[in-house]
Amino acid sequence: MSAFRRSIARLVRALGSGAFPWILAIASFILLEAILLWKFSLVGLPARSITFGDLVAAWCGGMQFYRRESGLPFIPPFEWFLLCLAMLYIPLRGATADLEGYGRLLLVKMGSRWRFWSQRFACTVTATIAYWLLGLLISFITCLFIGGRLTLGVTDDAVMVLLFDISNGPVAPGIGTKVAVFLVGAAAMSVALACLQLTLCFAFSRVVAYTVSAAMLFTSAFFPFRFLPGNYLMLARTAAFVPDGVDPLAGLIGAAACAFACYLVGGALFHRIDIIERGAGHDR
Amino acid sequence: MRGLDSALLRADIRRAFTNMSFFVAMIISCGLALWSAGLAITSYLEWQALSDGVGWVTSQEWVGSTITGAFASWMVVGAGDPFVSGMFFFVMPLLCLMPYAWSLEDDERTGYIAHLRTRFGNIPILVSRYLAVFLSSGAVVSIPLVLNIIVLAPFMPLNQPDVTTNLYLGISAQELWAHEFFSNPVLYIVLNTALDFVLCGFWGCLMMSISLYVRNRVVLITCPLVITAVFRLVNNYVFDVFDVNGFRFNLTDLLYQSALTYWRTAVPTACFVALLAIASALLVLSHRNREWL
Repeated sequence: MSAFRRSIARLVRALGSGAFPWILAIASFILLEAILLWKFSLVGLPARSITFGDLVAAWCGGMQFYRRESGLPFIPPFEWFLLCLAMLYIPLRGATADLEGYGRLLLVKMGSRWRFWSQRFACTVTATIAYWLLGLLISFITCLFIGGRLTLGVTDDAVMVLLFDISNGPVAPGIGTKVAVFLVGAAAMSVALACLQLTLCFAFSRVVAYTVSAAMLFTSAFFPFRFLPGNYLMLARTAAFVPDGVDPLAGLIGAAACAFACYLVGGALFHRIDIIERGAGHDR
Repeated sequence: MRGLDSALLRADIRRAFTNMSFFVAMIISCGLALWSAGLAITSYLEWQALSDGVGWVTSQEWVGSTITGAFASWMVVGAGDPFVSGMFFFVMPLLCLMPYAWSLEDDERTGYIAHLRTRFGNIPILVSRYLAVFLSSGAVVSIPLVLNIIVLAPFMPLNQPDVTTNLYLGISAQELWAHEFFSNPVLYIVLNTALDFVLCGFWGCLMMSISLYVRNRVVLITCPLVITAVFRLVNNYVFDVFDVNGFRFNLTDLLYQSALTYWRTAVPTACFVALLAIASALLVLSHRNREWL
């Protein structure tokens, strides 16, 4: 089998690595969409009034910025955080797996460490994008199943039910385009975060990499700073819904720069790393 | 075979309270407690300035003496600072595990337990480790809570909470130790600190037992947060779905009073503590015949 085909096989293995995070993600997608449907039924709205965008917002809505002056207790977005933990774990397992055995053989076949690193990088990017596509697919199927409207626009009812900031009045027209831009920006930011995690995996260990990326998401839930990546993963915090919200396009540019930097730094690091030692401890 | 060896227990407690992870966990938790106290004091001073008419604006709103008092601003009640106190209790299920809860898995991997096994039976090893984890995990939550009230006390009034100002606090009569809060707030602090100590202590013991079953360290670290998040999600929606008056039954929300969910009532809280205690004890005992190789 050629190195390229081995690489593809490896990619498939990385995507399917460990059913647990995929099952957790799928269960969370379905559960959060079911909660949205149930809340709609509570306020007497028919399921048919739900749009595809509403269902997407159910799992990537997050929470609006916390304002201390409101005096209300801060309630962390547990559901959003749970999904993010699953999303980050999906590409983690394949990152440093098989380095001492199969991976070493593959590395020799490929003849270049940069090619090997690029393949791992591609696995990470693909796995993260697959997570977003899976979420969209489940929302799409749910929308078809309940007979909802197949538009990315988010309705005022969903904004109210999902506890978005409603102080800015009704949802502006053309919101569907903004949601689409958000999805691209959020997927890009997830990819950047996963790439950073991959680089940290080789620089330190899987535990450190996962802890750092999870900590960045965790602090994003609390603080509205633009440089925290989690803010770009919450629809409720985008400029489409709050005047001082984050700009998904700025997030996209930042994510691309971060991913590129990770590719270069990680590649240079991988070029001189002792992969036997790293591989032996990959499951720690 | 004896159930507990005092030398082994002393060694375990010394290791639990003198390792680097314990200090890191204490620095983070005490840092959050001090930050919360700082925000509550700042908020109180700003309120005082408005009440006294300092500057060009004054406030005519009367909120009673309770809401601006030290007891109401304590992290568990959270009237002074709802933000950092929420953060503190959100990370606590993970933070309380840092000192020693993952040590059994570590020691098995390094061979330390196998060496211990040549001198002690499995039961003394597990029991002393269980107690050390219980104490260290409990200390991570209780010491910052005590520190918080100690810092608040010199800066804010320590008068007895007035039940007529309950509108601003939201402690209903059905809530756990609500009577104690308005009649004997110091006892309320002692009881809540003890409850958090026990909850986090048993939680640490439960995760210690699970650590011997889960080999993947990333999953092991994620596990506590995932379990608490799932428990909370189910707890918050299951009562709504069945349209019944619910109660809190998850670790994060039971740790403090001000969580915006159901009431924290006595019987479910006691059941949750018992559940943690029984589950952790059974899981620990399930390793009594382990070979440690």
